[in-house]
This record gives sequence, C-alpha cells and structure tokens, in this order.
Amino acid sequence: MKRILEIHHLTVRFGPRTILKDVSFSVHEGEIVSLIGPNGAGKTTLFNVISGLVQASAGDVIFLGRPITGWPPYKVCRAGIARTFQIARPFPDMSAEENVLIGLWFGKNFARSDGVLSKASEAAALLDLVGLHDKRHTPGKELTLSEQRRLEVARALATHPTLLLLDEIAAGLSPHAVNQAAQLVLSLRDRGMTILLVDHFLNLTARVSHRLVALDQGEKIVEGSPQEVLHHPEVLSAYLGEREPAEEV
Amino acid sequence: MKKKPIPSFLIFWAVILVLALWPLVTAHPQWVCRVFTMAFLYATVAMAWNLTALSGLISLGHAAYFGLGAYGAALMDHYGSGNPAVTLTTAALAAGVYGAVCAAVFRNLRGATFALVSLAAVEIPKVIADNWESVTYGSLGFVGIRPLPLVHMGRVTVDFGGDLTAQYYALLVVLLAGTWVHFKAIHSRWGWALRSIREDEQAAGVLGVPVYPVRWSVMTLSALLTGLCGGLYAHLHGFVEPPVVFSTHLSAMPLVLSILGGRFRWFGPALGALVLYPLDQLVLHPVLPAGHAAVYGLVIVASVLFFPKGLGLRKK
Ligand SMILES: Nc1ncnc2c1ncn2[C@@H]1O[C@H](COP(=O)(O)OP(=O)(O)OP(=O)(O)O)[C@@H](O)[C@H]1O
Ligand SMILES: [Mg+2]
Repeated sequence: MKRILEIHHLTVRFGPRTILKDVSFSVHEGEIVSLIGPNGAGKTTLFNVISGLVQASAGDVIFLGRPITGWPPYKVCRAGIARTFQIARPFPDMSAEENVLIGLWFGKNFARSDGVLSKASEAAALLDLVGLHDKRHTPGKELTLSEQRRLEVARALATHPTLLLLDEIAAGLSPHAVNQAAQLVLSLRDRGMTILLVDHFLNLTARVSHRLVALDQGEKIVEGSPQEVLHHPEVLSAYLGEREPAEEV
Repeated sequence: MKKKPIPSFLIFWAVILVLALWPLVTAHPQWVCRVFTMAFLYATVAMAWNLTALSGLISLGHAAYFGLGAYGAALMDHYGSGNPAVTLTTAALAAGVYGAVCAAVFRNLRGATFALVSLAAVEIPKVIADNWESVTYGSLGFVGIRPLPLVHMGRVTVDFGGDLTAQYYALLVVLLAGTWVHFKAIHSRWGWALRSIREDEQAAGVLGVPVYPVRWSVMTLSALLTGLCGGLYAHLHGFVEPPVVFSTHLSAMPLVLSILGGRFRWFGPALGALVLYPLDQLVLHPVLPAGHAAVYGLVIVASVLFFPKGLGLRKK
C-alpha cells in the first residue's frame, strides 16, 4: 500500500517544554487512522506541525514521498492536506457559503483569476453534505458550535484534500450526532480520502478506524489495531483517572 | 414599510460628479480648488493606508512612507532629474522599499504591538532627514522643489505647476486611480484573500491562502502608493521639512478618514476624506484657527461610538 503520510522522529519543543518526543508513524492510502491520547498528549500539536502552523524542532513530515517539513500552511494545503480545528474557527463575518468558497478558491484547485462566483454549486453541494444548506447565508459567528464544527469539515473538503486531518469532530456530540459523524467519515473514506482522526474521548475511533496510534505526554506509546491498542496496559494507565477506554468498545 | 436608504456608493459617485463638474460651471475660487486638491491627495493616502488595514493590521506609521516619498522626490529633484516621472518613481520606490523591509521585519507582529512598532518606524527616516544636513539640509528642509510641469496636449498647454484648476483635475484622476486599486482590494479574489487573512489568518492559511506573500505584497503596495502621494505633495507645496512630512498627524489622518467613511467599503476612505478634510479646512479652520484639528480626534471618538462601521454604513 502507498504511504500517504510519514512522520519521522518528530520532536517539538516550546521553550523548555518538550511537547512531542521522537514520534514516528505512517498513514497508508485509503486508511482511517486515529490518534488517541489524554488531554495535553500533543495530538493537536502534531496536527499543527503537519499543517505548517507550528515548526518542528527535529524530525520530518513526508507527504506522498516529499518532505513538507517547515512548509507554510498554504503550500501544505495545496499539496493536498486539509484539516479542521478542534476549536472551530470559522471566518466570523463571512456566511457559511463564503467560508466554504475560500477553500474552493484558494485550496488545491485554486482559481488563478477572478472567476469568482463559478464555484457556488460546489459550495452548495459541500454544505448539503454536512447538513448546513439552510444556514448557507448565516455568518460564521452566528452558527451553533456543532454547526461551526460541520462547517470546518465542509471547508476542509473544499480544498480537495488527499489527506484529511480531523481534530475531535465528535467531541461533545450526542450519540446520534456521533453516529452521523461516523457515517460522514466512512463516506469520505469511500470517496478515496485518507483520514487521520484525533479523538480524545474515543467516540469515533473504535467504530471507524483501521489503526490507532496512542500518544501520551508527547510520546508514542503504542500503535496497532483498535483492539490491541485499547487494551494495552500503558494506554489503560494513561487514561486512568480520565475515562476507561475499554468500556466504550 | 421600510424605506430603502440611498446606497452610499451612489452618494460617493454623486460627490465625485459634483466635484468634477463644479469648476466647469461656476466661478471657482482658487483657494477652494486648492483645498479639494489636497483632499484628493489625502483621500488617496487614506486608501493606501487602508490596504494594509484590510489585511488586518492597523498602521500608525504611514507618515514614514509619505515622508520618504516627499524626500525621495525632493532629493531627486535637487540632485538629479526634475522630471516628475523620475521624481515620482523615486518617491514611490523609496517608500515601497522601506515598506517592503518593514513588512518583512515586522512579519510576526500583530495588533497593538504592530501598531506601536509601526509608529516607531517613522523615527528612523525622520531622524535621518533631520540630521544628515549635508544632503537633506536637516531641519531646514528643502525649498524650491520644482512645481509640476507644463504639459502640451496637442495645441493646448496645461500648466500643472501654476494652474490650480489643472492641479485639481490631475489629483482627481489620482484619486480615481487609487479608488480603483482600493476597489480591487475588496471586490476580487485578492480581496477575499485579504478578508480571510483579516478574519482569521491561521484558518486562511490552512485553506490555501498564502498569508505572508499576500500580506507582504499588500503592505508594500500600500507604502508605495503613500510614497507616491508624498512625492506629489512635495511638488504641490514646493518645500518639505521633517516635522511636516513625517508628522504624527499624517499617520493618524488616514485612520480617521477611513474609520469615518467606512473601512470595509471600497469608497469609504475616499468618502471620509472628501467630507472631513474640506469641512475642516473650509468651515472649521476660519472659525477656529487654533483648534480646528481637534475635529480629527472628535471624529474618531464619535464614529467609534455611533458609526462603528463608518458613514458608508450598511448592515453587514
Ligand atoms: N503554543 C503553545 N505554547 C506552549 N505550549 C503549548 C502550545 N500549544 C500547546 N501547548 C502545550 O502542549 C501540550 C500539548 O497540547 P495539545 O493541544 O497538542 O494536546 P492535545 O493532545 O490536543 O490535548 P486535548 O485532548 O486537550 O486537545 C499541552 O500541554 C499544551 O499546554
Ligand atoms: Mg487537541
């Protein structure tokens, strides 16, 4: 299987603190991989490094065989990696539709000229996919949290990614909504997208993932099938006092 | 039933139309022409300033670019060629290069930090102009900068140096060109890039907007246009001195004019300038020769309190 993403010995330091320590793993074509770990394990930081928002102190990120370490975010995006933010950050004064249009105009298939309104139907289709069609004229700041999170997904898809990084899209959702999110993730996989998920509460992971990578305090502790990882003693102890992961499976 | 308000861009075009026709149809006192000529110049400065603001950064130091433009033109006129094509290019380049350097050096600064540092950045060219006496004549400044030239258009000769009506129309054209650039910075793909950067630059970046290249180039363009205006100022006034062309007032004015007219409307900064500058010079100055400039402070306070989106207000 083709390797889409390879993380090689990645280390991130913020001042004296080491946030990620020598983390390595890879994601193959068509896979859904989940990154799990308790609060502060460094999952979001890893996403930030991949998407170019945070500089690695050491190590490499390889995408489709090419090192992209240190690339600015827009280049990473245009190479084919899109992400959502754990705390949704819609453009507050733009409508939901305009939020999506930014991804369409500037992402991988970016427009080179002002053929600006030509992508409205594509935007509508993406908003439909995440169930925001009725809210297309609502400004980002007036959407509910769950709507903002769905907008994050639609906007990321608008950039035509090969690899999609989803940061906690199911956190705080009702069981019904978690099911919907799982369906969405699976349908994206069926369209040929490779997906790296971050899931702290293990809502989605066990249902959709092929493999899990467990992080704790910046270090990878184990990687493997959901069954193996969720029953691994170190994972259990990392989650101890937080939540018992095994009971969710 | 709600009455539809007149769209404010129509007000803008009406103002432009009146300004374009008025000297043709009635007697036009030269000093009034002069005031409007300067209003057109400052309107252009305001739009140039707003280009930077549209990318989400409030600069308090555009006097640096205006002054560099004025000194660039004055130095070129004095030591090199007096041809305005040459002096004005020098003006734009001097400011543009400084703007490009500032945009690169201040790359990671935002908000109040950026504003303060931009304010400080005025001091560097100002101190040089003030102290390098063998070249710039120090605090005495330059006098006798050549006025804009005579231009022969077919059989007609227009004296842009001496005829204030001709200057009025020349600057009106500059204003319209500036308005076009400013329009594009809002209504185009480039405008959407600036807007996304202004609203959330990290989100913009991961959606494929080249944040730094876009911001660097818009700041350079902003400096370049401000410098061009500084160069025009040097030729219109015939003299430049550091406290005037590098003044804090020049840094604050585009901010006031833009806030008054509406920073997010293509015609906003220009409308603000066309309303406030003549009001200040023609109405308030004769009444309150000493305190008239206070209106700029008042306008900031009043518009922030009552018209947070500017006169060109439309619910957004
Ligand atoms: N910009 C920053 N500067 C300093 N420390 C940071 C910064 N960003 C994150 N950290 C620290 O890095 C550690 C890892 O944070 P990160 O957000 O990556 O964790 P996470 O695994 O995503 O946690 P959560 O499940 O709560 O989202 C935390 O201790 C956090 O305080
Ligand atoms: Mg996180």
